[in-house]
Amino acid sequence: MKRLFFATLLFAAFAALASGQPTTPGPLASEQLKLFKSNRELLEDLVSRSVDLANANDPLTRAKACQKATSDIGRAMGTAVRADDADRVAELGEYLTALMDQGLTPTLTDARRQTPVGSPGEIELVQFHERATLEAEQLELSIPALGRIGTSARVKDARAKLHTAREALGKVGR
Amino acid sequence: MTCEAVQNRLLALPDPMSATGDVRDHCEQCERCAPFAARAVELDAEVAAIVVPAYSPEVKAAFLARILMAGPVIQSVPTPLFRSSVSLKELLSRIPVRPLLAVAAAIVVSLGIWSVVPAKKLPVPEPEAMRHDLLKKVVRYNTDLAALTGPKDKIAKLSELAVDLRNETRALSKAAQKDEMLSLAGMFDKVVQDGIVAQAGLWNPLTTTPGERQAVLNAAASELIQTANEANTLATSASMQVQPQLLRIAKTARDGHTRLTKIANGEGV
Repeated sequence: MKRLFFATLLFAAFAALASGQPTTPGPLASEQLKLFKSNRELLEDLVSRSVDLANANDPLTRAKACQKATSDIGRAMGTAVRADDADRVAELGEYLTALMDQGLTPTLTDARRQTPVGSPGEIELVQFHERATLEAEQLELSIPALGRIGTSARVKDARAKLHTAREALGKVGR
Repeated sequence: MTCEAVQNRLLALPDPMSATGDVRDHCEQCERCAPFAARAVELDAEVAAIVVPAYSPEVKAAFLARILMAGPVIQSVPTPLFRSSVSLKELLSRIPVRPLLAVAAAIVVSLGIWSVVPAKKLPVPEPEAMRHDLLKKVVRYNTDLAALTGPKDKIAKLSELAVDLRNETRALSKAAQKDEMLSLAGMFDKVVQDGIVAQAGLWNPLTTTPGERQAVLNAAASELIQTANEANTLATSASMQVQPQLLRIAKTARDGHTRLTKIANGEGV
């Protein structure tokens, strides 16, 4: 009984010690300011998209807002590619994949389901889908396959995931 | 020619009587070798006189069987590696020095190369650049809001976004310049006025229970009043450049709180 008591006490002491360890420190104010400055334009765009998405009342409008968000990230991606910033390209590639996988593709799928065949809405939807798929392809191709960016493992991984997401987007409704 | 050499040559002859030349001359003159030669001739004659049975394979086999019946017989004797009479110097001289030296030299050269040539480096993971947490969250809000349809969930999500903007404002309040704070104030305005308050105004009271609606709106309003108070506090110690934007955030938050409270209480926007 005594042994059990002391073992529990020891375990509790270790747990307390572990919980008292400092967590991963956040960025310094100067680092945070630098991050904000480099992301400011993109943040403003994406916050606007968040509000647009909240105010969208149908799947096609939501899909359009998601597509605009991917365009916003695509512009930032272009800047990162020109700056030869592999980490930034990988980061933005991940966000693009998330927006396609969890935003654009599901909302387009909903829109397909809710739009009657042969209706004017279907024509608009098909045209939008084609544009969105084409732009997704261009976004994927905008990531260089060679050079410092192309050889980065993170970029390779991000490009592969983006490719899968783009293919899934292309298959919506088929 | 020494006696020992003459005697050895005599023994090597098939017939000691057939000795010629130096050997025969030496034996005729030497007191030691003459009797040796005579004894060798006698020994040959005695050996020749021994009665030998005619060769027969059966007899040989029977003879060998009789010997082996006595017990185990050592049929081959191992040859000792070195004779005990060999001196240490002779023993050392027999060791193959050259191959040993070659092996030692090869080891030394290998060690030298191993120490000079850098070891094959293990793949080092690329150091990850610091990422902006707010950007990651805003992307997440986009994907979340794309899946939400009701005002209740949308208001809660937009309220979370407003809190993240408040946290960013707090973190940058000392370091930010006018432009950054202007940007934050603009984003906050948009989320509160065009997002939270707009959704609250569109929320049909008939689609939910009054209690649930009031709870969601009050929770959002509570966050907004907290933001207003915090922005006012930050403004008191902020630079003159940033202060107006912090006061703007405080005003937006306070106005949002007022409007949400009214909507929650059924007073309209």
